[in-house]
Amino acid sequence: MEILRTIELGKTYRDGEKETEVLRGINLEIDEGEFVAIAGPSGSGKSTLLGLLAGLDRPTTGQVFIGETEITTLPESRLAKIRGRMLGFVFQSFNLIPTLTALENIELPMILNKKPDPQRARELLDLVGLSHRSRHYPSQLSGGEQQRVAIARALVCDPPIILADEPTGNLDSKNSQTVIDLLLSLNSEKQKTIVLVTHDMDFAAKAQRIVHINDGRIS
Amino acid sequence: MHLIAFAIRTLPAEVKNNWQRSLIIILCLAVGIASVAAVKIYTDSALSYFTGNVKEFVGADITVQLPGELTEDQENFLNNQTLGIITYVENYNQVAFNPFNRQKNMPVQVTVIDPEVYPLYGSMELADGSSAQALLDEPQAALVSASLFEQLELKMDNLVLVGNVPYIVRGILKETSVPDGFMGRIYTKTPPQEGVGTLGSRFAYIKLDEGKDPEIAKKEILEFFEPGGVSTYVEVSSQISRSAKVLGNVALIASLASLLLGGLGVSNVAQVISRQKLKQSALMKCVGGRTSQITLIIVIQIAFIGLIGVLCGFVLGWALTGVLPGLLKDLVSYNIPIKPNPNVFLQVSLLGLLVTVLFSVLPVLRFTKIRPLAIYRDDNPERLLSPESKLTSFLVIILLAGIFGLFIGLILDSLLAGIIFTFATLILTAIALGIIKLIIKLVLYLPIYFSTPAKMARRSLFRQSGRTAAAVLALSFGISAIVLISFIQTDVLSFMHGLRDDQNTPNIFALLDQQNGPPVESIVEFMEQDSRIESFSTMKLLTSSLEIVNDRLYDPTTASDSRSAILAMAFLIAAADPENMPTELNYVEGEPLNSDGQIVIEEHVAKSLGLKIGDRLGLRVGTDRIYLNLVGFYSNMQTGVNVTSSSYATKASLEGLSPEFSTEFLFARTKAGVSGEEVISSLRAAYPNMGFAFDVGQLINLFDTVFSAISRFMQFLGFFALASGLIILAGTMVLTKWEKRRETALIRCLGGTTKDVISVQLWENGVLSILSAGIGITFANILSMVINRYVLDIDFVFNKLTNTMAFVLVLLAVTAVGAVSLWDVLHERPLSVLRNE
Repeated sequence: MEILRTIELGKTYRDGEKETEVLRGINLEIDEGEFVAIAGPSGSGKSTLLGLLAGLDRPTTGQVFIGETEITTLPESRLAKIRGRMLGFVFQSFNLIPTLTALENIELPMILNKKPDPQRARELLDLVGLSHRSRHYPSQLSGGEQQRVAIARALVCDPPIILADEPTGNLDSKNSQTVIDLLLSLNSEKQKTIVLVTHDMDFAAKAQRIVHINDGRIS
Repeated sequence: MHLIAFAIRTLPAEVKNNWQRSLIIILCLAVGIASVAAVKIYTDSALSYFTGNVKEFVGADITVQLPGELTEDQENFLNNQTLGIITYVENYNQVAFNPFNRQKNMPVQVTVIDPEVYPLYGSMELADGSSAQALLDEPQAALVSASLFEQLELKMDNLVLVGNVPYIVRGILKETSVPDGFMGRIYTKTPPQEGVGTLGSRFAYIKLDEGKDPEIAKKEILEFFEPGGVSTYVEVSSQISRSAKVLGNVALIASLASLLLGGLGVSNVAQVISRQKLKQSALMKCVGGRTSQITLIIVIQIAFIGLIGVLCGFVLGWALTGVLPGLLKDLVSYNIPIKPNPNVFLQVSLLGLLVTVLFSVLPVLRFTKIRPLAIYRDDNPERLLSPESKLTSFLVIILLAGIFGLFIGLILDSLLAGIIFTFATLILTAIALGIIKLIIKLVLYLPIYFSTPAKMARRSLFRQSGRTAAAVLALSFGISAIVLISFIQTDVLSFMHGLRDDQNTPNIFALLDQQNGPPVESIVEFMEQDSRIESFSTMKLLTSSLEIVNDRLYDPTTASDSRSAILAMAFLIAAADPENMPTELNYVEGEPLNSDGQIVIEEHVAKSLGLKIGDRLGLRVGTDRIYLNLVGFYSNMQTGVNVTSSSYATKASLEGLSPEFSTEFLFARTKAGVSGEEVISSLRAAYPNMGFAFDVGQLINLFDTVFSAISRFMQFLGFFALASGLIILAGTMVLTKWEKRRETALIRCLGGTTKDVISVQLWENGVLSILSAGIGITFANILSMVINRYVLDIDFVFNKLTNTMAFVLVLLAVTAVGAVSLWDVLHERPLSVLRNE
């Protein structure tokens, strides 16, 4: 069953008179529990596509569906709710809040979505193998540890979809492998739908399906 | 609730990470709150002191003013009353002399008491070495006020004469109020000689028996006495409360200025904080957060930091209440115990909290409206800010300002006043900020920035103009408040000193007692023989009412305002000799007074009554009516000397009118170098029962003392505004320090020296201080000019010294703040700065 779907999705950026078409005619269907890698060279539009899938940006043309809901026309408040319930994000630069501890960073989405559950945050920290680092601030954690905290944060509201944007981009090979293994296990054991944006074909190859993007089109 | 708990839980790390910003918020609020807390603690303590000790101040539960002669019923009632303990107090207005030097004399109020019963509450406040017991033991023992003791150069256990009755000084009363400077006080149990001086008033003081209700007791008394003369301590207490509340509210509103200016500083910091949290806000939106939630987290954290400021401010304010008695000693000489009550603390804390929220919500809201996509934009995420909704901003402001206004209204006991004050202040602040931003931009466009440091300073000021405007506003407001009070004080006092020193203006005014005092002729003879007198005249003053103008009835109720109606009903006419007027009149229209049947009127009085030259006026004096032709207007305000009458007519014109409506005055001018007080002392020595006399110099000194105390207090509050300005400025410098750090590193990498860096800073500080001082001082001068011209009607004198001092003060303060801010920047290695970048 499809959990993510786009129809003729296109995005054009305008800068004064100049127009840049970043994505065009993207038709993509991702099934529930699927692990899809979106691969492509730098500047091909991978991150833009991910942003559109998450409702972070509005498409110039086309539609995006999360489950049965068409999100392209929804107001920001509804989008925020959908993101909180349906999506988990993992970023290349971790994006942890420096003034929050590892545990607080994980708790944050639950608080914003009005479902605070410190016990669950601890369980997830344990799941990513960092229960001993719960009171540490991001600056006191290594890159790999930070990304594991970010993954725990993405999982905390139990969203069915995880969107990971170059999650290994800032990590060494050992930590990169750990993160990819974690994502794979989430897919296989917890049936999470994973959309992984990467330019590393070795990691992309571990996905069930690879979507190649080139010059804003699926190739 | 979870959001609030989360915001509070993560606050310590937030404060630790951004301690400089937190410190600015704390300081901005601490200064403002200190000003409010000092005023609020002091006024509340004073109120609770006065109302708490009201029985001691009044001296009874009920006071009854007794008529000159009691009726039989009244006498019976007083003798047989069962309300409680009763005692009688009689006040005589007399003159006291040093028996060894009658030139040392002073008008006194002699209070005759029964020392066995008086005071009914508390005890008499006496200086060390005094003996209240002596009043019981010796019939002639007296307790005298400190001012009388000093002025008459008395000694303990020596004699003091009241009329011809000797009293023995056995104690000194502690001074508790300022007007004692004019009239001394004596407490004794033996009345002074009858027929010498006047019996001012007689009272019955009643201490009610346990359980008796003062209101019920008052009703019983009112069956025998007039309502106006009977008052309970409860009524006095509520009168004190009302007066203290009004004064406290005025001071509170003045002190709120610094708090609101501090709010501008908070607003600056809130803007910087939320701007630097753009990516965090975007992230929170990615994980399901909404704008309102993110705004709430940031505002709660700022509010809690603000609470620290409020606490510091409260403690500082409490400490500063130690300074206030010194500042106000000439106004309030009571030793008021300072007791901050929890209610004041709660009010001040809420006030600080509301200011923090009011000033931080909009800047935070502006930057939390970031689109979540900003998480992907490392370069200039501000491009992804959603456009500001003017309606939302407007509604938020209305809501918050409304709440703030209602709260102020609750404190002021008038919701409307609170709302009007809040909105008027916000609107005026917005307008002032807009004008200041415009002025800053105009100044930055002036063709004066030729050197490289000047150009760099210009660019830096351009970049910070928004935040700098708040600092300039606060600084200029503070300096303006300080300088304006000083201008007005100087101008008013110099005007009054001019009057005192003007040889054409009388400096002795005396009301001659025609019933008990010496004949007017004797006084005239004395003045003629006294070589210290330059000129003198006596003048009869009649109280009349304006009834007819040009054969038509004049209806006072149709007058343009209540003042005119009063003027018409209590129209004063001075009987003067045109050849020897008591004072030189400055005619502005028509002709001078020169024959009988004419009248000249003070211009403002005439205009407010709608009179014109040539009018024929019908004036009623008692049962008589006279007709006078209006021939000239003189201006009271230009010369300021005519403090006696609103009109003049010849003596012959006013001859034979009802005597009970006339009063005889003496006006005299002493020769240069001779004080009026000296001559008055001689007059009293010769005629102890002459009546009331005062020296203009004495009056000016009293005015000077009171005005100075008020000025000092207002300037004290003005310094808080100035401090707020400096903190906002320091805050702006701290918040933009990274820019200064990078700029300095670049200047050095490009071959610039420390001197070049300092030059840039000097240019920045120079422009800012000139702007702040310039705007503040110009505003103060203009306002002072307007007040002098249109309110006080006195000349405005440009005060070079005060202007220069104020300018230098701002210049030094701004430069000092700049120097402190630049200090560590100057000591950083350029390479390490650029590497960190």
